[in-house]
Amino acid sequence: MGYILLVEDNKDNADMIIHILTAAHYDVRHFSRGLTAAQEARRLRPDLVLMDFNLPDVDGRTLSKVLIQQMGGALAPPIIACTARVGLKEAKLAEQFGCAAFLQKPFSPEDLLELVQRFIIPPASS
Amino acid sequence: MTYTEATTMTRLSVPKVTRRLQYRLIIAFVVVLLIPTAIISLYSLRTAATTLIQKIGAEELRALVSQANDLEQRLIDAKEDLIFLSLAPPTRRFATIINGASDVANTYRDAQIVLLRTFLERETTPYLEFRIINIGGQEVMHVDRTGELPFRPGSVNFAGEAYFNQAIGLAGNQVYISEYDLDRTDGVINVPHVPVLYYSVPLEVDGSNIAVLVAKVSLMSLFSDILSRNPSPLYLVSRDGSYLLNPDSDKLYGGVLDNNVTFDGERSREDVIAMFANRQGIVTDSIDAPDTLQVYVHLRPETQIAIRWLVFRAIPISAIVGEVTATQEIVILLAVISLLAAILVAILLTRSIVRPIRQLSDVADNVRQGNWDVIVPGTGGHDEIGHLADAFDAMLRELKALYGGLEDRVARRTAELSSANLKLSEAQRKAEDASRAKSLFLSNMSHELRTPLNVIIGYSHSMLAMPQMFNNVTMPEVYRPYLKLIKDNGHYLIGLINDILDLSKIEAGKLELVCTTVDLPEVFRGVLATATGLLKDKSLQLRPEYPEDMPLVWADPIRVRQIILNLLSNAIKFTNTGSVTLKAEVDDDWVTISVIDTGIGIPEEGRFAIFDRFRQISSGAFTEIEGTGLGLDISKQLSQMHGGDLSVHSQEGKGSRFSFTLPLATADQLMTKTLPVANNNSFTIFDRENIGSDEVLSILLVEDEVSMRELLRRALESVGYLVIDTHDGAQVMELALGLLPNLIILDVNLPHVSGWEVISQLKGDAETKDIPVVVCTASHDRQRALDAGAAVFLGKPVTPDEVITVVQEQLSSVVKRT
Repeated sequence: MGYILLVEDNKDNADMIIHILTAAHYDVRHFSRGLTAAQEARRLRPDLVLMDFNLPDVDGRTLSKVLIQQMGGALAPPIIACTARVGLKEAKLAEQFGCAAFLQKPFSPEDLLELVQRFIIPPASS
Repeated sequence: MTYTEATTMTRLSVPKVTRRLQYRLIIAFVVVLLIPTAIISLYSLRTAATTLIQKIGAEELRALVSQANDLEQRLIDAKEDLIFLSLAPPTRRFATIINGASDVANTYRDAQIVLLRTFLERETTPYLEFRIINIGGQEVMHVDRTGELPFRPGSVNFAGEAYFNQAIGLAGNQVYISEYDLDRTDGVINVPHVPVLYYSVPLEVDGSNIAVLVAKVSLMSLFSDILSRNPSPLYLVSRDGSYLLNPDSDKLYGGVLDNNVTFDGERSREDVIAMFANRQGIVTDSIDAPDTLQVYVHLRPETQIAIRWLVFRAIPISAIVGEVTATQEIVILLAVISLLAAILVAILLTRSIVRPIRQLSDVADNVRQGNWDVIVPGTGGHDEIGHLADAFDAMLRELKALYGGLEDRVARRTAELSSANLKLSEAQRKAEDASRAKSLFLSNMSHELRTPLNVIIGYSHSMLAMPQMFNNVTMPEVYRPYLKLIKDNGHYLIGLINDILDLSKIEAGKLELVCTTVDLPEVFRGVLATATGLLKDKSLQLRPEYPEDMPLVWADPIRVRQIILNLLSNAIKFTNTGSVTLKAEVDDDWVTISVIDTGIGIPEEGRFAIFDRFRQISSGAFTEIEGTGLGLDISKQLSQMHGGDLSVHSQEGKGSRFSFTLPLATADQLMTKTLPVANNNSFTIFDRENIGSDEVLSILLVEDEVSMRELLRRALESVGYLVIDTHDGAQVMELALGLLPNLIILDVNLPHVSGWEVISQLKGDAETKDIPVVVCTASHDRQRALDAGAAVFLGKPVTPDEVITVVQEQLSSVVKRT
């Protein structure tokens, strides 16, 4: 356990997140495009999806909704919506589209780890 | 076109003329005519009646006087007859024998009888009988129309009779006339009544009276020819008041019959005095005989005082006025005729005046209703109305010209106005666009700034605190403070971006509070924890000074936190020694939250400036402290949005106190659900109870034309579908594979890659080949579409409803399947 699907189009951010999560022994797969990520998600069911909502190829919210539906609704892996946009509205939209949590950029590594740990227990370091 | 046609053509709801001028004029005409006519007629009729009465009265009186003269003459004639008889030789001779021998006496007697009988036998003689009475009162001769009546000596003595003893004392040639009496036989009144007068004359022998000749005279015979000559009833009243002549025979002879019917018994005193005091006269307006004209004359045969009779005649005034009434009828008839003539003239006259006026007013009504195509009637006349019509026509022309000009002007102005409006709305649209662009720019900029900052903060943070991320390679201590500077400045930059974003939202009026019931101590604890981190190495005391059991307030918890944190960070920033106190007091319906520091304070002249954005007090100690100065401005505006205000008390060098107020939650507000207080972290975890309960079907909409795409997307979303749209054929396959939509709506005419290509790709891939494709196109390739694997072919033009119907049909099986 501990497979996280990361959907993030900004390479630097993606690298940092991968760095943080990998350091915490999570297995992270990164996709910069939402559609390929979705295909991968269906193929290799992740334990958690961390998705930036501002994607170049498809609207993150729509994608979340479709994915949750296709992966079993309430049984689907939780999706954490992540955005650099601020405001209650963003968070509310994320909730409406079925996301499990909302992460506001910028965030501290501690916050990211805390949030991820709420959903999946980090694998023991090997 | 005549005027009449014009009016009928345009007869609209013209107010009805109710009080017609014509009628008023006619009424005025008639009244003016009627009043003097009536007055004059009445006056002349009255005058005529009076004059007529007077005239007839005079005539009647004259006639009566002549009659009275005739009557008098008759009485005198009888008297003269008697004088003649007393002086006639046979009488003289017979007188000598009244006291003498009988032989001769017989001869004389016979002669005497013959004489008397000639008088008795005369045609229309008034004499009924003659008597000769000797001095002893004995009857010596009695002759009537039948002859001499038998002598009855000693049977009757006449000595007591007035006609005897009055006459016996008279001188010769003098005649006594008795009061009237009724004819009697042996003292008993004969019926029928015959009024009589006794004429008596003395018979003289040798100078002395030896006998009296008495004649019984019938009054009716005496007056018969006079009375028969005049048919109208005549009244004759004797001295004692008895009627000798009266049309009512029951009223006759009242004095003799002693039945109290007399003239003075019937009449009022005024009448009696009026009629008896004068020789002759006219009585009108008598109380006793109203409506009667009476003329009267006294009979006074000058030689004899015994007779003083009143003769009068009564003429009913109605008989006289009857003529006047006839006249009156003629007058009334004439008045009515003239009245009718007057009305006729009035109608004709007023119509000639009113009709053109009414026509003009009709024209005015038409014009008022906007019908300018009217012809003014009656123009060109030479009278006042013609002039009026001319003037009206001229006025109408001018008005028409003016009105036409006005319409043009209005049209021009309207055009100008609408063009100005257009410009204005264009300007407004531009302004709105600009505002939207600004908001979008700020939002995007904020997003773009945060993304790299996330990396800066994230790495600096983890390098400082998370060595495990770097294979536990410890960073040389010499880098540490600088790395910390990078991290702090990153946080500062984030705060700055947030402030700018907030301010732009407040300016645009787009910042909305999400109010809920807030437990202040909970907020305070979080804020104080954050503030402790701000203290760094300052030896400041952070003092909470609030009761733990505070009533809930009604506020936006995020914003309350923002205000307090701003005030606290300011206080920490400007205080080097002493303490920073967070204090809260409940006062009525408000909570006052204060941040009190023992810092440098604010000079008095700067106290108003501190709320100015982008401004810091730039003197002395302030210059070394960084900050945008946006925080206090935002805090003040936020507290005002909560219904309170932010105020400051400060003493330079001793410290400051910033206070703001929040309203306590009302009973209604306490009933609402309390939102979880936002935590200090940058993440929010949602309650996931409801996830997955709703089945949402997704549709991939591929449509080249943007308006059609928008239309269909909205229509499909409105019935609950999740729609992903694209115009690009090249993207379809990727989208389909990524999203695996429940249905695809595909236009064939697409840029880059044609729809036919797309559909073959879709059908060629195992993952997408089962997705139903609705081909929606303007081309007529139905068969080709179906052959290519389309589930449905929809030929354009197509309505959203048709599309929805088809989609629902196709997806009904999908729903069953899942």
